[in-house]
This record gives sequence, C-alpha cells and structure tokens, in this order.
Amino acid sequence: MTWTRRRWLQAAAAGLLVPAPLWAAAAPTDRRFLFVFARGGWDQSFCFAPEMLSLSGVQADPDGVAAELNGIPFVDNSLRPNVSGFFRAYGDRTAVINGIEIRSIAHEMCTRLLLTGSQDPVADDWAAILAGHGDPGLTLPHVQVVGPSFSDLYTSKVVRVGLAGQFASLLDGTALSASDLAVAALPVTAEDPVALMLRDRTAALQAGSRSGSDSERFYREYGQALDALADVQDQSDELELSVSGDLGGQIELVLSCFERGLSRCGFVTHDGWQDLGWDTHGNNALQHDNYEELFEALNVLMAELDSRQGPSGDPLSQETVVVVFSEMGRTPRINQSGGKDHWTFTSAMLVGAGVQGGQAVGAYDDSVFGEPVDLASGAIDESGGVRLTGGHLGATILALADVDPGPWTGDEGPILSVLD
Amino acid sequence: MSGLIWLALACTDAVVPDPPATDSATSPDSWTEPVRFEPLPAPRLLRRMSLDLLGVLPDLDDLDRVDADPDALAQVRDDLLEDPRLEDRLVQLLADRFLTRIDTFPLSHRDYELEDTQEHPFELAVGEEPLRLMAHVAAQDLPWTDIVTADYTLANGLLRQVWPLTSTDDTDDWAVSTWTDGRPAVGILASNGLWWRYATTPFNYNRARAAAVSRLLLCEDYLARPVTLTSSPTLADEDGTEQAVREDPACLACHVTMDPLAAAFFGFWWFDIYDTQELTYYHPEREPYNEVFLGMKTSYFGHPVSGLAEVGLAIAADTRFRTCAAETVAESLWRRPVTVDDFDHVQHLRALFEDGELRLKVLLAAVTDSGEYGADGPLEGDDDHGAVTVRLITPSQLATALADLTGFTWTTEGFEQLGNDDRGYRTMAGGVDGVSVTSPQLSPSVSQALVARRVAEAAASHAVRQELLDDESDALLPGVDLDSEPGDAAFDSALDSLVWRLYAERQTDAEREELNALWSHVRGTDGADGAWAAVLTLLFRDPRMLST
Repeated sequence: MTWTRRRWLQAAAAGLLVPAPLWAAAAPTDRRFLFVFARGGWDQSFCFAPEMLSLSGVQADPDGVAAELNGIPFVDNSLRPNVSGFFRAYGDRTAVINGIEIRSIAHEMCTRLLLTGSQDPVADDWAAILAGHGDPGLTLPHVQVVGPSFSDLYTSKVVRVGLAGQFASLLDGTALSASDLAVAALPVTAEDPVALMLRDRTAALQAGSRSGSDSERFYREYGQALDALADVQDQSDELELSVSGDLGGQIELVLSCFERGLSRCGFVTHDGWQDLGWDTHGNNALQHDNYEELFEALNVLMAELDSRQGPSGDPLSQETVVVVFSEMGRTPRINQSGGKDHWTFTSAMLVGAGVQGGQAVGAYDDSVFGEPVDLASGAIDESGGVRLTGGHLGATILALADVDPGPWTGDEGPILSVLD
Repeated sequence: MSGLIWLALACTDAVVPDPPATDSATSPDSWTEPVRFEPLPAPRLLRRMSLDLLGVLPDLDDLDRVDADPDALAQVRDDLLEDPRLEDRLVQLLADRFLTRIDTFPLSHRDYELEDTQEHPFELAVGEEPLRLMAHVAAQDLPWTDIVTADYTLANGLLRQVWPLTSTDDTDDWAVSTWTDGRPAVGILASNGLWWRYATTPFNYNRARAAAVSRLLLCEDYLARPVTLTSSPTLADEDGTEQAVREDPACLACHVTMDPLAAAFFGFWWFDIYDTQELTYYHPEREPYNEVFLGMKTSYFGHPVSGLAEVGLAIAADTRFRTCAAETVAESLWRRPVTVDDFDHVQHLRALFEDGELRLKVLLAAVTDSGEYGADGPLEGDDDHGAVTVRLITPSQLATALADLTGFTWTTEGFEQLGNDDRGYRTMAGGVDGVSVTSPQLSPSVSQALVARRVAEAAASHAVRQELLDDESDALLPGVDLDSEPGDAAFDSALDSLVWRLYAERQTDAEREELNALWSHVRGTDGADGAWAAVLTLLFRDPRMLST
C-alpha cells in the first residue's frame, strides 16, 4: 500500500497513530533549506523526464531507460548508479517538478527568474527571504558558499564565505599574515575593548537616528553583524568554515552550520564533472557524468542529514528541505557540435522535511514544453491548469517555511500537492 | 562632435537616422526637481562626493571650507571632477555596471606564457580595458560618443605585450594604445576585454553580444522581455530555432533588431574559444560570416549600415545612447535602478548632457547636484521615494580610501584582496564579481563586517608602523609620537582632525573621552603603538566610516 496524501489525511482524521516519517517532524518555521544549484543548465531528458525517451523529436540519453522508483519516474542508466540509488533510497521524500517555464534563455536572466520569480534587478532570492523570516537570533542566517545571489531587503542576512576558505582565514587572522605588506591583527587584549566600544558606538548611533530611517536600519544591521561575528568567533574552534571547492566540501560547510543552529539556509553550487560545467553546448554527453557526480553528492548529503543531529537533538533530515535546481533546461535535439543549447523549460527537485515525496508533478509535452498543472492536485490539467514557473517553485519553497508567498510571487501560488 | 559623426557617415553609403533635435520640453531649464529630502550637511555631502568621484575621503581644507561656507561645495565638487584620480575611480564605477571585471576569462595568463605572478594583473587588465577607455573619455572631457567611435583603446604594458597593440607612450601604465590588427574604430566595441566577457556560443551567433550592447549602451534590455515559446516542434534543434527566429512573430519581436546588430560582430567570431590566436586577433575576413550564419547583413534597428564601424556611429547618434548615459550615471550614484517615476528627471539629465556637449562630467555634476544624491533622509512625515540615503561603502572605495589615508594596500601574492573573489574578499565585502553578484551590496552583513574588521586592523597596523615606529610619514597623525598622551596638544588635535576627516563630523566630548580611555587601556597591555593600532582600528570600523 502506498501512502498517498489523501490516505494520509484520512488516517490522521481517523486518529490512527501513524508514526511521523523521519523527515517530516519540524514545524515549517523551524525548517532549514539547502539550495543545490547545477550551474549552466541541465538536460532534463537525462534524468527527470523519461517520457522524452519515446519522443522521436528528442535526442535523450541514448543509453537511458525509463524507470520508476518510490513513485519517481526517471531516466535510468546502469552507468549512473547514484541516480537510481538516490531515488531508491530517498524517492519517497522527493518531489520532482517538471516543465517549469523560465521565460528566458540567457543564463543571467534565467537564474534571476528562477531564484526570485522576477526580472526586477532589485529583489531578494528565496533563500534571502527565508533567512529574513527565520529566527532573528541566527548567527549566519543564510550561508552563501558559492553561486548566484540576489538580495535587497534581506542583504544583511546573507553571509558569503568564499570558495577558498576566505571566511575562515579572516576569522582566524591568517588572511592578514598572508598579506604582501607585513601587517598584524590586533591582539586579544586590544581587540576585546575595541569590539566592545564599537558595539556601544554603533548602538548609540542607532539610538540617535530617526526611527525607520535608512541610518537607523544601517546601524542596527551593522550592530547585528557585529554580534554575529562575536558569536562565530566564540564557536570558531568547533566550526569548519573553510571549504574545499567540490560540492561535498561546500555541503559539509553548510551542514556544519545547520547542526549548530547557526543558519537557516545554505547555497552550494555544482559546476559539473571536473568543473566542466552543465552548459554543454559542445558535448552533451557530459550531462551523464554531471548527473552521476551530482547525485553522488546528494546521496552523501541525505545520509549525513539522517545521521547528524540538529540543535533540537533530532536528525537534521527532520528539519531540512533540499532544493535541487538548474537555471534552464537544454534543447530537445543535439546541435552540430554534439551539444545542446538553452531551453526555456526545466525541472527541479524538492527533497525532505514537509515535502510530499514519491511524486513527479508536471510533465513535458511532445514539443518538450511544460504541461499545465492543477496546483492543488499536481495533476496535468490542460484545460484549467497553469504552466509552472519559477514563481510557483518559489512559492512552494516559501510555503514549506510557512512564509506567505503572496508578497513575493503574487498570483503564482505554491504547488499544494507538494506540501505534506 | 555630433557633426563629425554625421560627416563621417556622409562618407559612406549608410542610411542612418537623422540626428534628433533637442526637445524644448526637455531643455535643461524646463524642469525642476521637487524638494523631497532632508539634505546632508555640506561636509557630509562632500564626503559622499569625494568617495564617489575619487574614492578617497575629502582633505581637511576642503571640509573646513564647505563647513564654513556650504555654497563653496559646488566649486569643491568641480575641483574633484578635475582631479586626476577621477579616472581610476570611474573605472570602478563603470565596472559595477559593465561587469567586465570578472575573475575568469576564456584565456588565462598561461595561454600567453606569462609568469604565474601575472595571473591577477592579467585578469584585471583584461576586464579593465574597456572600462579604462570609457574612464579616459570621461576624465579627458571628450564627448561620450567617443566610447563607440574612438580609434584607440587604453592598455597597459601587460596588454601591449600580449595583444596586437602599440602606443607612443613609453610606459607600463595605462595609456592610449592603438590596435594593429585592422579592427574598426569603434571604441569599446572593438575591445577584447568586452568580448571576452560577453562571449558567444557557436549557435548564439553573437546575439548575446548584441544584447549586451543594447543593454549597456542603449539601456534597452532584450533579456528583460519574457521568452515564451509557442507550441512549435521546429524549436527542437538549432535549425528549427534559426527558422523560428526568422519567421515566428513572437521571436521576431526581438530578433528582427537583435540579429542584424549581432551581424556586426563577426570579426570577433571564434571557432575555438580556448585558442589564443582566435581570441586575441580581430578577423576581418570573417565579417561576411554574418550572411553565412545569420543569413543577413548588418543593420542598426532597421537602418542598413555597412558594418561594425557604422554601428559605432549609429549608436553615437542614437538618442537612447544619451538617455542611457544619463541613466548609467544616475543609477551608479543614486545606487538604485531608475524607474518610470524618474522619467522627467532622466530627461532633464539628458538635456543637460546634450547641452554640455555630451561630456560625462556634466552628468556627474548634475547627479551629484540632485536632491536625492544629497539626501540625508526623507522629509519629516514623507516616505523615501525609493531613495537610498545611506549606502554601504564599496570594497573599491574602502580600499582606495584606506590606501590614501594610511598607505596600506591589501594584496596577497599580487592579488588585490578587495578586488577579486578567487582568493580575496570582494563580494564578501559587498562588491560585484560580475557573474554571480551583479549589484553592489547596500547594507551591512556578517561577512562584510568581518572583512571590514581585518582591513581596518591591517591599515591601522601599517599606519602605526609608518607613522610611529619607522617615522616615515606623519600624514595621519601629525606631530604624534610614541610618547604623546591624551591631553597633549598634538595628540588631541590629531584625533580631532582624524575623526573630522573620516566621518565629516566633529568629534564630541564623549567620543573623545571614549577614545582616550581606549588608548590608555590598551597602552597598559600593548604599549603606545598597540594603543594607536586599537584606536585607529576602531575608527576605521566605525559604521560612519563604512557608509556614505
């Protein structure tokens, strides 16, 4: 028997004592979000859209076969064991969203549209919004390891750490000892009173500013940043804030912050197998290697989320949503260089806490355009459904955090069937 | 200069639009900015101007002058516009707009067999090449149209070593240089730096470049128009796509003008993006490839032109180019995107620009004169109208301001640490990397505060060594030595002056007492040099120092 959403609700209404699944215990307001970005544009026909294998107009993975595990239809390939392994182990926690229309074919604009739902050059991305609506006491609300970032109202929540251990080297002062000009950090005997006085000065400036003014906000946010810095400094011996460049290293940094309760969001980027990228204009076969490497890291991530505890003492998987996405898809057919070009429809995955797993929402039609979807049921609805967009994806992510998406996505509401 | 453009065009067979007449409705005197903001005190406005235009804090004489006579501010600002440091500063301002100062280009220093010590200088030089040309045009008071018509670029010794460039200036510094590979005289449109940043893929056929030119120089952003594919199976591959962009009205809405513009750039076409020869040289023999790949000749928004050279001239004659210059300066100095609400103001700026013979300094002066630029906040009871009245200092401003104050420049193995992200701290400090982060940060954050802490400590450490230990300078703390103490005239005067210089605000008695207490406390544990390092670090980390 499969636990459908309806059946789950029926069971709950009947008072059946169904044990909560491991991954769905945290309240939405406590959830953490890890964004995994496949930079460059993935080919959905290599993974998320097995229906493309049978379309004559699509040149999909030549060795791929249609498969389904735990309710997730996908393109299987025996040389990509990590993909099938992921859906075998975690498909029941995974919702695949297909046919998301981006409405652009340029990397920069696609990234902006998918991450903010807007063309507005001044907008917050989903992670920044989530961080801005999280516990205001978080030290590092949104850890941006590497990758695109858009922020406006919630800029102060975004913490960039750098891909070469920059945050750690600044924190421990080695950044200064490496300077070409010989300089020294302040000794603790001097730094402590400086930090104290700086905090007092900043508070005084804030108090002297007109309430609600830019000045007041600037001083308040600077004061918060100073407080957070002090917190991080106190925990620096335990934190692993330097990072190796690969996806696993980036993820490890974010998990380190999650398990200490320092952060609500993290953002990591996969630049493809051997950093050759997902933007495979010249050799689409790289998509195969890219997916295998990406899912290898995702398998490790999920195992770590299950085995590591959050600050509440529960496994991190109970309170973490993993968002896996790429800014665009790739054309149905191979070009003259053996690659594929940009396509304005793509797929994404939501995995973990609060996600109704074991389902693929949306689909691609024969022209590899997104099919319209009924947001409530998730079913294809050619008459009354809507084409999914980055706004719908964002609204769903915000809803998973119990943040009202309305101010950010307008009429583009959450895909309700994805919400557990 | 406009006359020269039309004279040049008259020598060709090109059919280009007539130069637009200046609309009397938007003449410089016909519009007055509404009063919507509380103005900054003159010294603080001078501080903002000095950081924006020169990247340094104002000197004490100018602060005293405008403090005594706020009306002197206009003259001081005009002096800033004639300062030789303006050119370097404009490079930074334009970098945040043109996004060419990225960390990784298709080619690296090794492709030219340069030493690894040249890695960062090479990346910087490539990204700055088009910016330097624009900054040169602005600083030398040349017509802004020269940025698309000039028969030269700016290059340093490194670029002249590896690219086909020559200069009559015998210097390794940036200097006017001439391409020797026969590329057209189109200013930045002939720039390797611009086209390495805005590359093209094999089946994009320079469209990305056309879109970039339109966005950057005309403020017409094709990418802002939604791409909604209709149900056409022909889009499945590049042949079908090429057919669609020529026949499908939904595609043609953009491509009918974008593609003929893209057709102009085939002299910069490459067959191997990682091949040094391909990317280094202009290929005039490839100009006709536009008809092979795009199936069309070059034209400029419906007006046939003979090639890239005339595209430069057509852009220079385009009214949108002037409006875009006004928007560029306004957005860079207001630190926000312009909106439809700014229409009248932008038109006013354009009219001033045209009246001022298209010199960018006219726009810089006009925008810094605006009420929004000089705002301390909205009027009591009013909203902020979207204005940004407190801005986070940018990493480049912080770097140059501290270098000017203390002599400290933060490099590690030759990398400017506030100017790159491979090893440095540019975006952590709130800056733009040109790819992942494309607009400067406006508010403080943890990573920004951490960078500020370390750069403050470093600059303070360097200053103490220079001024007190090695006695090589007394610019920052004149008359002070390691025996000076609070209450000594030199000590008190130096601190008062320093606070005035850093924040354009007079030090209060309470602040003075705090600093004296900090100095005395730290001297007890770390000596007088340590005490000064602590005091300077505090002053450099003060939020008033980190904002403009």
